[in-house]
This record gives sequence, C-alpha cells and structure tokens, in this order.
Amino acid sequence: MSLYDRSAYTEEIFFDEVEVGKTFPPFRYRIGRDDIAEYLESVDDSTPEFLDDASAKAAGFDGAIVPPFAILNYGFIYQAMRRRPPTGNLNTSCEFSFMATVRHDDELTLNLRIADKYEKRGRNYVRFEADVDSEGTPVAKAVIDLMFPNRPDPKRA
Amino acid sequence: MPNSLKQLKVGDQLDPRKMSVVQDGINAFHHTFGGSNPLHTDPDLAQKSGFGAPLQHGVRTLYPVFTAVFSRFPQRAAGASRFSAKFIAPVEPGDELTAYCRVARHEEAGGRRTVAFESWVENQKSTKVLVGEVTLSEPLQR
Repeated sequence: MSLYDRSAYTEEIFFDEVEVGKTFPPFRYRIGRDDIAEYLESVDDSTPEFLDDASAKAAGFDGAIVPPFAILNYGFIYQAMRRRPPTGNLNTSCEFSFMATVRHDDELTLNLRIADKYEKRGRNYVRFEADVDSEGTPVAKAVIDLMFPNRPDPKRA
Repeated sequence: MPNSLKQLKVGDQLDPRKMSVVQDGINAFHHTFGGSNPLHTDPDLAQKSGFGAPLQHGVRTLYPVFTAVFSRFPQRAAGASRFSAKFIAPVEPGDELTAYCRVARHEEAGGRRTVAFESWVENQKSTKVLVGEVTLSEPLQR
C-alpha cells in the first residue's frame, strides 16, 4: 500500500517510555481499489466481493467493500503514534471487531489509545486499543498485545 | 451444512482454509500491512533472536480464519463480527497452515442471535499455532 508515510514512524518506543492511557491525535485515511488489490495479493485472497461491485451486490452489499482486516493494518496505528514498537517485538494476541462495512475510498478516522502495560513471566507487554470510525459511525476496533523486547544495553552494542 | 446462522448447531464445522507460507508472501504482507519489525523479513535477525527463520505476522496467520467465515457468512463477517486470537507458536516460511472454525455456542438473547466459533490454525505437523474465537451476530427475525 502506498498509504503509509514510513518516515513518520522510524523512531522506536521502548517499554519504559510507554504511558498507559495516552491517546494520540486522530489519524485520517482512505483505502482505495489499488491498495485493496495489493492487500489481497499479499494474503493470497481472491474473494471477489472486495473488488467487484456485481459480486459484492450478489452477496448483499451495496458494492465492493474494503477487506475488514485491511481497515486496521498496523501501519495506520504506528502512523497515528508516530513511533514504532521496538525491533524484535512479537504480537502475542489480538482481537478485532467489525461493526459496519467500509466502501472503497470512505474516509476513516483512527483513534489510538495505550490501554495497558504489564509484565508477565519476566517479559514486558503493551496493549493498544484502536477504534476506527467512518464519518462518525464506528466500523472497527482492535485490541493488540505486543511483547516488547528490553531496551538494548548500550554497553553491549 | 446449513447456510445461515439460525441453522448452525454446536459442533458444526466450516470448510477448512489452507495457506502456504513463503517468504515472498510474508514480505508482500509486511509492505501492505505497514510493518516495521525486521524480525519478519531479516533472516539474520531472526536467527539472532532464536528463531530459525523470519516469522510470519500473526494477523496474516489469522487471515484464513477470516476467509473461512467470510466465504459462508459475508455480511456478518464484515459487519457484525469479532475475531480474537492468541499466537502460540511461530510460523515460518515452508509451513503449510490449515484454519478451522467449529461452532461452540449458539445463543439468542436481547433480540440478537450470536454464534461463537472455536477457531484454530494448525501447521503441517498438526501443531496449533493460533487459537481463538470468532463470534458473528444478527438480529432475530420477528
């Protein structure tokens, strides 16, 4: 997808910097047909309802829709945060809710919150919550837990 | 197999979905997903981190669970659904994944029908790499 400005999230954020409850300015974006085609190729999905209006209408939609999981690509979250989790982080769990369909090029607004940070069996975790609406209508929500590696020891660099 | 939430029974299973994991696919997803973690794309870093090869993104591993559900219940999967997942084992290039969804609960309450599927993804060794739950809901017809 050409939707990301990766230069906006080159800087890592480490566990000791994470502030629980912190929110970020809303991030606005639109997902278009070319982005969707690229996304579908990357997940080996040929479902026609995401690109073809006739197939989507036959399935009961008003027209072709954005694949729900593409609404909440992590690049949008990092772009909202303007930082990225540290190299070596692991996605340990996630929960996605989809409340309404999104059509191509609908304007979307993502609101991001750091919901929690915690330690479990000696490892550090951060929980992000992202809500997406389309012109005020909630369309999707994600709760994502990432395991954060420790900040590199400069003495070992 | 019934084709509506109403007729689903506990124990019914959706058609399994397969995914072959190759590094080119992981790289393509990394690009479209907006990924920033070289653990998914850098073999040297993966080995230094204790893995045999770059790891597939968890959300890409979850994707065949979504397609299994969407192919049967597109409107519910796209607009009245919840997908939860825990990633319990690494997924690497060369893995052959199969995603399963089996009805665990069927409830009617508050004017809505909710069906919960137990979902999981296995690799070619029948090792579970993802466990989770999918719920779909719809209004009850009067």
